[in-house]
Amino acid sequence: MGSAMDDAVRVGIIGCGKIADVHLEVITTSPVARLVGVYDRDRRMANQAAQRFGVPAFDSLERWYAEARPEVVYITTLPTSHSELATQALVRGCHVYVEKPFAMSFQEAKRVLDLAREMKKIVVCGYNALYCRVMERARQQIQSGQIGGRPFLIESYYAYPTEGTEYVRAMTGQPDHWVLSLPGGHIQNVISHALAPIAEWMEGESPRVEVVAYSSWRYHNEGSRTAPTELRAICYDGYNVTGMVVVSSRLAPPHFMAVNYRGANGDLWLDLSAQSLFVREAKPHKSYLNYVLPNWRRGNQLRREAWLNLWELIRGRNHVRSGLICLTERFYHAVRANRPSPTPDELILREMAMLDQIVEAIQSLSRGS
Amino acid sequence: MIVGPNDPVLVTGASGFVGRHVVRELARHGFRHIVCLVRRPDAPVWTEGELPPGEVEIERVVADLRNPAHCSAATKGVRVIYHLAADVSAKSFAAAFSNTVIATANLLEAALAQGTLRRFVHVGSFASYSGLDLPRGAIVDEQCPLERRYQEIYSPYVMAKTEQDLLVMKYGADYRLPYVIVRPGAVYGPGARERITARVGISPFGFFMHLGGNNELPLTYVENWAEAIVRAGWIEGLEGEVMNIVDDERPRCREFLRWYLRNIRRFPYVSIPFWLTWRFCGAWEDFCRKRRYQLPPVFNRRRAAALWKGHRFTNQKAKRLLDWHPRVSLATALASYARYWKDRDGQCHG
Repeated sequence: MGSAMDDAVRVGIIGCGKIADVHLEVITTSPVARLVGVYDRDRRMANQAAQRFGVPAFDSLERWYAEARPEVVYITTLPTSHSELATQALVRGCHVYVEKPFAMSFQEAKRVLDLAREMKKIVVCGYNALYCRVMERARQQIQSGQIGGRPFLIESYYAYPTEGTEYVRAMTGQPDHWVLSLPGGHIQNVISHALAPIAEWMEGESPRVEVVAYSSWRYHNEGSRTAPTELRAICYDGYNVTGMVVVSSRLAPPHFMAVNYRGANGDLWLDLSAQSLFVREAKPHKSYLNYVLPNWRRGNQLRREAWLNLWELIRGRNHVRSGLICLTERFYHAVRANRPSPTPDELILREMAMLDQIVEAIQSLSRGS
Repeated sequence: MIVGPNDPVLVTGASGFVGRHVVRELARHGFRHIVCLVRRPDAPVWTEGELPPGEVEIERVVADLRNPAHCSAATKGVRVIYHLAADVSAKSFAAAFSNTVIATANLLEAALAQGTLRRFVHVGSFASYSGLDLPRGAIVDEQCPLERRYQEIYSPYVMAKTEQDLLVMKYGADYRLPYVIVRPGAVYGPGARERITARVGISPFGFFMHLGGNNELPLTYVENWAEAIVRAGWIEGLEGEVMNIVDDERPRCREFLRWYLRNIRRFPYVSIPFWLTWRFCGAWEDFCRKRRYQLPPVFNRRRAAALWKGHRFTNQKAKRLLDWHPRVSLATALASYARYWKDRDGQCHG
């Protein structure tokens, strides 16, 4: 009798940096996947991951493909190498998971996705926040008509602190850090978190984006080169959906992430950091009751969210990485059942089109300053 | 002595809590050319006027050890390297490894390429010892096994420090690196990052849990520690040695906690016996594994064994090889420690 692991998806990972650690934990605890090997350009980084997770590390990519024989390849390297490594993996007949940002440009992304279609392979982009529990609930509520159809205005907030974090310490210590060498600086590295929830509800391939970006003084004090730390963008898909993006180093609490979906009959406020969902119905009340009833309802909703999160924690479903776990499992299911990618090509391309315009705006602002 | 007073010595992490004391100790022992490696241009290091009297040149080098070119510049002509730099706050294994172990590899490569190095003093940590298979009451000495199950103990710091030690040993074996490893117990003193070492207890749930019971507390006062480090850099015939550095007077965890409450700040606490700590850590670890790490396995058997099992400690080897004796007594050290925290608390409230 074959064991369950015989049918496990054979997974390999290229790039053993910080984000790879998160994936390695999810892969090695998945009941349907088996980690078969790790590779990093720096053999020492590959070794440290290999030692901790009990898998082989390889010193050449050729050997890695030949001996580890992965079916699924995770690409968690620098964004500049994503499209090249994804192309190599697809050519070798592997399904691919690419970390954000998916590629350096829309054209690069399109080439990878076209190749995947040609090779009949699945490509996933790491939009894990789109698959966390609260986002899934919001999607269901929107589809059930809670806010009166599709949202027409989406506000997306993403915060990253510039003081004291590992991410920023790494950058400020090295003026030649790879994040700073991206054309759009580190905003290019993180903004997909904020763009994807907007891109998901837009139509068309290329929304128009208007950008304001600047550097906060605190970041200058960190001793790094000038790079925008604050970004505000307005996106319009040409049909009916407008998106407002705020990426900031000053929003509190650190790593705050929130999305507000506004529809004709109300709106949904999602606090992804607290995993809470809050519905505001546009239901009018009589005069002074407007000051009482909506607030009363909101209080009740937040209390319900707290109890729900506690209950889900006890049931083992409220996982700090629930988005990544959900996306990963859908990916493996798609691989086994020959289903489409959980992150549709249109979503990736739309997000890349928005990112291209943002990077261009940042570059022109930098040139101007 | 393997180095003269005019030979340049390099101190990495020179602006840190221990690094500053090491620089002062070097000046006190008559070293005249001290190269201080710091990460940031505004990092505080001693200036000549603040150090004990004598001709001393403090050379500040701003460098990032992750950059091999910086390492080459910093190690130019140095005879002794005191390697104290490590990323103690990295939260991911990959970052800890990159910032500490690869940084150390860069430093070693650069130092060996210079060809002038006479001694590489590497500062390790007691955190590298595995307490899992040691019975309660056993002595933790230099022969104790190192902790290699990093995912199980779930500590990037343990991984970084252990792998750093192993790397230095490998360079010793493969390239004849003249190294000495010194490992301190719980280093304390004015400027320390934490008020109370985790060996006494922790407060992960908003209240202090006293987990150390009546265990021996391996305190190392920062000035005593700095002197031991400095001595490891010049005494002949120490190549390849590993030494544990703890003070002679080692209070019990309970005594230390009571002293702290009496002299620095009072707060409520709950004492938890080791058998309960052990069971809780085991249950937490199993729960996390079963639930696919829904919660981080920060409480686990390996950590419980390393910190709270109740081991004893020795400094015999260091005393013998370094001819070192803790200069500052426990009473004096505690008084200075209390003064520091009271001043700080006073400033905060004032």
